[in-house]
Amino acid sequence: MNTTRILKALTVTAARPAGTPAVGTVVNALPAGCKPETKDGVEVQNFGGVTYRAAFQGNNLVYVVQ
Amino acid sequence: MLKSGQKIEFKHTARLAVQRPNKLRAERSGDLVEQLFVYDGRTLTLHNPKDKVYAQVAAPDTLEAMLEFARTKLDIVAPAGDLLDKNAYDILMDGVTDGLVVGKAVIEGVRCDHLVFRAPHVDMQVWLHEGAQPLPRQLVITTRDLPNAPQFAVTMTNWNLKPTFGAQTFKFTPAAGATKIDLLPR
Repeated sequence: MNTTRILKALTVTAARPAGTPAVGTVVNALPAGCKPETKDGVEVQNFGGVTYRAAFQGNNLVYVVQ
Repeated sequence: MLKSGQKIEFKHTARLAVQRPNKLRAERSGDLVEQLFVYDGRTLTLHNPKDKVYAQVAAPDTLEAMLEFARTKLDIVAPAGDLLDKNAYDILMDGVTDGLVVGKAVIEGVRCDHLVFRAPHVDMQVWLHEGAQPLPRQLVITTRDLPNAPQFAVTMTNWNLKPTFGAQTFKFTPAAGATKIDLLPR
């Protein structure tokens, strides 16, 4: 049995409880109470362990789940 | 348009500077968006000053090609972009089957000729300055195939046909604290 893999899976599950948006999900607004932080040198917004990165989609400002 | 069918208008004001063949600056403010659109002949910049973010992309070298590129590849529209195109007449008249001179009208204090046209999916009304220099004053486009026939309307005021532009007019310099962000592919 590969315990590392199971641990990894558990960590991911812990960081992303059920109901959190999948990576790549595009939202039009950030959840209230986001905290800005830097991830890989890029400014992102963190909400409960989910980070959002701003981007333009056409003329609209959107946020992409990282 | 609300699900109930109630029609809601979103208004905004744009200030545009155009230098043919390849420069444009459009500052838009309104209830949905506050946005700066700058094209210097090489690069297109989109900037939301309130959000302190901007994106830049390499763009074609003419105004017309840039507008087409922005619309088809990036889903970005410049305010009243079709009217900026030097082929605006061809774009607007595409598919028009009939037209009518309605008469005279006064739009924002200027006497105009009121013309209407019909194309397969849209009805168009245009008001032109009366006289020797028939500048467009107002355009109303009704998409009659969609439920409740949504409309796009633009009124053009403060025409200046001999503008002077500064070195900064078509140049984008990010403000301190502004973050460069990505432009998602269409």
